[in-house]
Amino acid sequence: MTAPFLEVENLHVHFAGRSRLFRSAMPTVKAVNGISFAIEPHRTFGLVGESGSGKSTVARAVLQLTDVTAGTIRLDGADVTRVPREAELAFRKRVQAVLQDPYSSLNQVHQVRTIVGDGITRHFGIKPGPEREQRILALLDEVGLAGEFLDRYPYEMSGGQRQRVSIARALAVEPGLIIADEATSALDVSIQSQVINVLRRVQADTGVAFLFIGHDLDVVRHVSDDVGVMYLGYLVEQGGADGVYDLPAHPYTEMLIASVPVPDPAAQAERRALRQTFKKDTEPPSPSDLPVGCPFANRCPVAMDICTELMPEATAARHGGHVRCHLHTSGPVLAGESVVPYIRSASTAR
Amino acid sequence: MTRSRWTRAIALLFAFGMAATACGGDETGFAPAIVEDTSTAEAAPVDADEQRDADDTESATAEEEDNESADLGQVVVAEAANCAADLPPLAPGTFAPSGDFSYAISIALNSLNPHDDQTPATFAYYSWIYEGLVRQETDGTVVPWLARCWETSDDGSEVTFYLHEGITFHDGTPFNADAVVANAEFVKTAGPPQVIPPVAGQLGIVDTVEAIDEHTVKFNLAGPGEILLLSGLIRNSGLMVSPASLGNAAAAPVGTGPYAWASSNPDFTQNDLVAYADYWQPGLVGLETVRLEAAIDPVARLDSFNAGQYDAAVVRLNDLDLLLAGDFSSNFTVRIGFVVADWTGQQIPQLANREVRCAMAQALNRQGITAQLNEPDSVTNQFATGPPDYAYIEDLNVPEFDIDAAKARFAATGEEGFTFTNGHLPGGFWPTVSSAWSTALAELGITMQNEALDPPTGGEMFGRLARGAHPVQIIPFNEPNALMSLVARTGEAGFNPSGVSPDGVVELVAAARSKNFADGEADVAAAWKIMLEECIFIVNHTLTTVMAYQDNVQGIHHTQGIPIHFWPHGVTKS
Amino acid sequence: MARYIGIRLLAMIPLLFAIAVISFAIAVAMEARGSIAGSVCGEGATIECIAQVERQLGLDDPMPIRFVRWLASAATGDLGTSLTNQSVSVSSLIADRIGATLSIVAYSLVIGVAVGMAMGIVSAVRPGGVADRALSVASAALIAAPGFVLAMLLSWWLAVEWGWLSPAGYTRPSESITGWIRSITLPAIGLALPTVALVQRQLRSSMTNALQSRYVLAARARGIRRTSLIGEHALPNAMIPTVTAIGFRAAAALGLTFTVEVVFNINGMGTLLTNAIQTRNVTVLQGSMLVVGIVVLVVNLLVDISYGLLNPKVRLER
Repeated sequence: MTAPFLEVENLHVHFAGRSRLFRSAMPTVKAVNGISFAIEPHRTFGLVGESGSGKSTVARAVLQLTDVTAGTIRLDGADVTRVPREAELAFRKRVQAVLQDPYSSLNQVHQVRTIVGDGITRHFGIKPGPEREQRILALLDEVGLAGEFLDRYPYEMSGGQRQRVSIARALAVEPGLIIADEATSALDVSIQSQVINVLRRVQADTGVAFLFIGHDLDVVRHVSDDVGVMYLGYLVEQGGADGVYDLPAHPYTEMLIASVPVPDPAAQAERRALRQTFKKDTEPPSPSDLPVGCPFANRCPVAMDICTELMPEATAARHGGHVRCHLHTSGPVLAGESVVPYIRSASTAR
Repeated sequence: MTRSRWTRAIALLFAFGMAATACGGDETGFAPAIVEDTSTAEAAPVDADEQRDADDTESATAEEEDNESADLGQVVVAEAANCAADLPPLAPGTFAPSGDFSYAISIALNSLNPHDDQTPATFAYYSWIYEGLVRQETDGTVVPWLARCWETSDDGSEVTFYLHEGITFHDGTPFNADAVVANAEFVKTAGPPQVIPPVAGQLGIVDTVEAIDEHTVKFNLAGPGEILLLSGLIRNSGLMVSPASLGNAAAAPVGTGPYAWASSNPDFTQNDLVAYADYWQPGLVGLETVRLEAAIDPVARLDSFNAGQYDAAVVRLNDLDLLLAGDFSSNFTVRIGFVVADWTGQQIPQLANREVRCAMAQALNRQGITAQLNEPDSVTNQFATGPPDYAYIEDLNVPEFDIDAAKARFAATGEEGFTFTNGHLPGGFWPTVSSAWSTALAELGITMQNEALDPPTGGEMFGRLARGAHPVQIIPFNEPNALMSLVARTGEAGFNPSGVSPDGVVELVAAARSKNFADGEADVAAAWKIMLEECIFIVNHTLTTVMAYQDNVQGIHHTQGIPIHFWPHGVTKS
Repeated sequence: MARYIGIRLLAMIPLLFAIAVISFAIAVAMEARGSIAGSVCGEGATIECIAQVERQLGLDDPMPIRFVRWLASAATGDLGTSLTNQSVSVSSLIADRIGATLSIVAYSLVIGVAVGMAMGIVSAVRPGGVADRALSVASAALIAAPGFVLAMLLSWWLAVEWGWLSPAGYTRPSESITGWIRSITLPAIGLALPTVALVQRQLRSSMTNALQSRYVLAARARGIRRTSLIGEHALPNAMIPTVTAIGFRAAAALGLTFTVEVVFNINGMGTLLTNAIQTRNVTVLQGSMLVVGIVVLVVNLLVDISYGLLNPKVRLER
């Protein structure tokens, strides 16, 4: 195992609420609560969760676009939790992002040449000219776009093409880590797989690490080597992608899995039944008003009393990663085994 | 005028009061005095101007005494004797002018042909380019100019001008009797598209003009009206335009004046003149180039002057204490009046009642209106105003301004309020006047409606009055002269203001036609006295042009707004 | 881009025609008040005179023929002669005066856009900050205040006291370039204030949007310099709606030159038009309206071109 490129330790990101005119209380939004994970070069870490789970905030924190309240972030061994002004440029070279919306993430008045090229100019000092053009063409080739795209404007390209331009743009500065924040979520399914293939190829060719953020567990699983499941700012389960998918140790993970439809009717029916065990209509708590115990407690079909009193610590899971759930230490004491049979039995018991 | 002159005038008035015929002395109650230029014999100068400097000279008085004892006819003969004296032709100019001058004027000229525009304010600007047969001095006296003298026939209906020789127009054509005839004919009857030129009213007393010889021209008047003729000739109608250029003088003016026209921009807001070398004689202060630039907004014009953008600028009387530098000189321009006569006696029965008219006079007259017009924020009031001065008319019984007395007087007539339509000039100065007056009349319950004339010319307004189209008019500036001219011309038959006794009409006509210099002033004063006391005509106030000039502008003498005192061709004056 | 401009030019033709019709119609409508021939002949107009003038000026022909005749001669540059002075041609009058108006309007746009952009960018970079609030209040005040009043106040200090600018009058550039600038600065300021306010508000709003956009975020993440973020990334996007607002304002400014021209003694199109109305100078009115209308069309074309330069979507239309 090589040294991880990205190490996140106990990351907390809290936003102080703005005081309103007639309210004395200033609610704090706790977006990220004690996340820890690591990514090695050539590997992809998938961060999955619903909207509001804090995964985008993690991305921003790593990118230093948001202030870190507590915890540590290390890039290639260097502490980048708070990057001083002088070091900012060097930092920006090492980690890049590909964002969700292909329609708004590219500047509509810039051609592809400028979009991909300005990072090259900024970081390598290569002014617009034949040398830079060569580099841009190589990058476009890497993401599977022909040279004619150089003069195109964003509105002249499809969603998939734009995302590829975004990837090329991120690659242009030769980073060690690329954060893909919902990079495929706005694309058609067929295009998604194209883009995912591009990501794989890029990784194979350049050795860049990926932090892949998404809400679709299926997609994340296909892309990632390791997976982390986030819920309301907590990393409730993490481990190898296949392992988490096959042997989910957290009820929330299982809920995510169940919500993905499968082609097989029988399996789908089963999934639906499983889904229905979850209290669908219950709202998750607000991140500015987190409960004392496990945040998933009010939606968990197999919640116990301890769940509302105490936030579970991380324990080892069968698939080789961690899970934060009282089921493994109290009650049935699953000890890291898949939680699926237990939920099924709990649902049939009703 | 000294008191001794007045006493003598009154004495003569009584003496000649009986002879109510068309023969009389040449005087006009308010037209400027006529002074012979270089000769010794002169008629009694008439001083009827409102704001002239009290420039009484005892020597003039002494000369008058000689004349007054003479017969009426002898005055004329004495003039003729002087006039016939031969004078050598004028030598061309030899002085080389220098320096540039920029002058911000207050109006935009519509045309560079003076006969096209009767607005008195334009006279000052045309005078840079043109000259007239005669000229009015600062104190109001009229002196010969392009004419070296004139003489009047016994019955006063023929006035002969003897012209200087050797004067040429800027285009090289000679100034002679034919030129005078051409100008007069143009003024009286220019062909279409202008049927009545705006200045025609100024020569209303003139029937025909004929050239006797090359340097002698005779005006045949409709009646005895030398004063009336002269008072017209001192205005735009008297300026001499080169006959060859009369057709397009509107855009390419040619005169005899000290400065020849060089160029203008299409709307004549910037006019560049160059010195006409032939004019200038040694000892005269002359400029090489002159720019007359229209700067209509008075506040901006003052600011420009204060910032040093112009060498001189027309400023409002109210703005004089805002001058940051330089000096100023002022000269009265003319006065305006308000005719309340129902000319045909038919149109507005209420105006036949003298008491009604006099109540109106009392409401309109003097300080009340003058004060309103002197409002500092009256933006359109380009000229300062002053109170009228009737001192030249003895025993004048004109109602002073008193709005309460006026109301009482009007109420006592038993005529309720009525409405009449007044023809007036749209735009510029006049709405201020007419609105001030309509406000005053409204106090009595009389409604004055204003009909905007189309086109706006004073001559047209006066013509309407004469035809009875408008019984009531605001007559601007020197049109009172034209009014008197009309009175003289039409006589008792044509002039029939209702409410005036037949004897009064006869007297009035006689006075208007009088020409006697010696006591003529009294006669015409009598005419004005009748008109004022019968409340037919309300003379209200005078207008003054003030010119400010920068410290470094030397030798300024302001005559009618012309900064350099021009002397007749070939004549030097210390 | 050429195609885009070409289409815009073609679209101008029917508009030009409409302007010609309207100019002619409005001027002719004034005839109802007092006939042109009557104006020319004067009060003592005889029937012969009126008939003669009508024949001369071709006023007795039916309206469409008069319109076509006027339009045809206008196309060759002959707009007739002024009714108040037959020896003055309308086109020379307009040519004499239009330079002043165009100078002032153009200069006011330059000032308005430059100052407005500066204020807008400063506001947008820190929305809600002290500068932003101060500038927004200033904008609101500028919209309300009559510009020429402020310009006159400035005139007292800048022109009369210190003599840096000229307090009134118009100096042609052919006479003196510095004199020209000095003479149009104060009137341009008088006209520019609403433009400043409009541009500031519009740019602040679109700039804030742009700065909060994903692509700017991505650019920040790429380490793009702040000045470049503002100038090269956000501003081109923010200018797109702003340019439309500027174009609108430019046409409006042409209509507002009258006040400024009067107060600063400038002989421009504004005073020409109003004088023509007051004196019923129909020929001058027709010609001026036509010319001003053409100027507005040209301004709109320029705005469209700038819009096309800024917004690739519009210009490429592939």
